[in-house]
Formats: sequence, structure tokens, C-alpha cells
Amino acid sequence: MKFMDKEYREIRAVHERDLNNVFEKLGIKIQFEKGEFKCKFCKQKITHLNLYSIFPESGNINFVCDVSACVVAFAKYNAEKNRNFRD
Amino acid sequence: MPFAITLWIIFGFPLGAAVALVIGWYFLKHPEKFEKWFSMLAWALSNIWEKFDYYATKAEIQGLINSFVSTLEESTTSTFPRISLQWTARGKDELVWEEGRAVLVMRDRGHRSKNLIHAAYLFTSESLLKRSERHLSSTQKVSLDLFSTKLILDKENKGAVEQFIADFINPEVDKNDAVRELLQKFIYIERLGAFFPILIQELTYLGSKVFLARPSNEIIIEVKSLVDFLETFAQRQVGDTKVPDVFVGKYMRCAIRIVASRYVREKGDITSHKIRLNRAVKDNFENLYIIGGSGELNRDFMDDVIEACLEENPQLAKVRDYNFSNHINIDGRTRKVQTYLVHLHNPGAVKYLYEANDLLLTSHD
Repeated sequence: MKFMDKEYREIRAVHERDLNNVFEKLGIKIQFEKGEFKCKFCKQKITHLNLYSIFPESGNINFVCDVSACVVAFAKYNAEKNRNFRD
Repeated sequence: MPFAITLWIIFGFPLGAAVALVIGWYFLKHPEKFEKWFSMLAWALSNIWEKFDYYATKAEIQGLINSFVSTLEESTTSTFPRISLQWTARGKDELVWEEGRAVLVMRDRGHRSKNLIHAAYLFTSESLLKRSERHLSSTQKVSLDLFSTKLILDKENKGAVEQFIADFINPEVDKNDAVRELLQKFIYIERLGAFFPILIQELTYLGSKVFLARPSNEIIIEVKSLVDFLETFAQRQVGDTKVPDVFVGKYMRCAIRIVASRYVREKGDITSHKIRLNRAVKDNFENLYIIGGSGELNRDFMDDVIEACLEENPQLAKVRDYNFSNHINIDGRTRKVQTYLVHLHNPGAVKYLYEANDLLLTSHD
């Protein structure tokens, strides 16, 4: 049947109410509460309220804030990374 | 009364079962519709039990984006991935964590539009142009992502469009004139109804064809030329035959043929249209997009022309035909019309290996 052929892409998501759970599991809850993490792109302080995405890369935990320029920059960054990876 | 009960027993149960089966079959064929309905129910239930908003958010985002993908597949020959939103670290659940894969933060019920915007943008930027993205310039990619996301929101949640334009499109347009110019061109192309059915379609084909090629300025310039061609065509006045209706690039070759002349149709003579289509086939155009009014008479005439062309060119495949609303320019005024589009694909003309000066075609038009 045709609907069996559909391809699905997984989007991983965390609900804002589970963020503390995430930080606890990563062992960074205290650092996060102290405001030690910055957006990878604009270097703004990351809080519960402005966090758009978390992504691990080369052993580091990166954060992206929800300012649109940073969301767009993150998409560009991923596209560029894919381009280099495939080259 | 006993008679009514007897009637109910005889007919009521089978009728109810039949309705349930039909609804079940419909939802099985259209899971995104089920998700939309389910999300409404789950949002209502989340007023009683907060944790229902996990189900509501997941079903709402999947329903809206996957519904758009279904519509998209009706007007293109490509298949696009649907999304499946997976919660991680929910309550006491383990954190599922993969190198380089983003985990998106979803907000509560007060930010449903924001959740949809973020998920839709992630979907378009990571999935929609997966095959061709490495060959696009950064400006082309960002502009296509922004415009595609706007179209998703336009169709699925108009309330979120304004927020998306204010938060995403305006800042990008303000800081980059090239994005502004491209978005303006996409607006014209979309008015013709050609953004997804032709532009995204051609870019998807491009990604499949140039898999051996390294990203290069040559491909970026060709994509720019395709956009310019479609924009010029979209702005043409009805009846203007001077505007080019073929695009001849090294990697992409497509022709748009209009079959809409009332005079020719009323004569019932398909010969001239058939000759023009046959010529495009002979010239190795990979994709032929035949458009015309969707009125019954014109549609039948177009089908006759296409049938005759298919008979003479058995290698040609009719891959899609459908009706849609679009805008055309008549005597300087933009009018909304109903259009019928048939997409013919010429597999024999598709080329996968390119050499330095590999421009095969010259158009006779």
C-alpha cells in the first residue's frame, strides 16, 4: 500500500517543563542556572525562556537561542556542515 | 415502539459499523488528518490533565506539516519526508542524544504558533531540499527555506504567518538585499502557481542528477537563471509570445507550453500544439509543463493534445495532472484564474554524467 512507502524524518524535541531533567542528566544544571551558557551564534546568555535548541557536537553541548537570526544561522551552519561532510 | 427497536437492531448496528469502517479507512489513508483531529481533542483534554499537551503538541505539529507534504506530493512527482516528533527526557525518560542532531525546545500551550514556526523551519531547512541543498548558495538556500516555511504556514496556520514574517523574514530581508530580491521573485513565481510544482521540482531533480558534481558557482548561476526564467514567465502578459517558455541549462532543461487559445480550441485542431510538444521532446527537454485554463472544454482539448503527443512519443510519461488557482496578467491587471497543469517527463533526456562543456541543447523556439 502506498502509505507504507512514506519516509519519516525524526525531529527530537524536549518540552520546556523537562529542561531541568535534561540539564540534570547532562550534569550541567548548576552551571545552567548560573547563566554560564551562551548562544553559539550571538553569545547571548541562555535561559529557560530563550532556549531554541540544544545540540551535542565533538563532545561539547551547544545551545542556540530563539532569536530568529540565530535560528537561521543554525540552519545555515547545519547546511554548511553537511556540505563539508559530503565533500 | 417495538418496531422501531427492531429496525434499529436490523439496520442501526451495520450502519454504525459501516460508518466507523469508512472513517477508519479514511484516517488510515490520511494519517495527518487523524493527527489534526486528535490534536484538537488532546488540547481540550490537556485542560483537565496537563500532560496531554505532549500528545497535543506532537499531533498538531505532525498533522500540520505532514498535511502540507501530502498536498505538495499531489503537485510534484517527488516524495518528501514526513516528520515524526519524538519527545526526549519526558518526565523520568532517558535523554536520547545523538552527535550533531538538534533537540528542539517546545513551549507550552501559550506558544503554539512559535512551536509550529520552529518545527516548520527546521523541517524546510533540513528536509525539503535535502538532495540539492549542497549545490545552492547560502542566499538561495535561506531564501528558499524562508519562502517554503511561509507557504506551509499560509496553508496550515494563517495565524502564525504574521509572526513568522515579523520574526524571521523581515530581519533577513533587512540585512540582505539578495534575500529580498529572491523572495520577491518567488512571490511572482508562486502567483503563477509554479513555486513547488516547477521550481522546487526542478531543484529536486537537480539534486538527483548532479550527485557526482562538486558544488560550484556554475550550478549556483544556473539555479539563479532558472529562478529568473520562471519569474519572467510568471510576469508575462497573456498573449505575449516573446517571453521565453523554455529553460535550457547545462543541468536543467524544462519547457512550459500553454494550451489555452480559444480560437484554436474551437477549431478543434490539435496539430499546432502537438507539433510544439513533439519539438520539445525531440529537443531533449526533460520536463514539459503544459498549462491552460481548467474549464471543461479547455481541459478536454489539452488532454487530446497530450494523448496525441504520448502516442507519438511512447517514451514520454505523464506524471501528474491537477487543477489549481493562480494569478495571471491580463492587459496589465492581475486576475485570479483556475488552471490545469500536466507534467510530462522525458526519462530518455535525463543525463547523470556531465563534462566541462556539456550543453547539449539548442532550442528551436
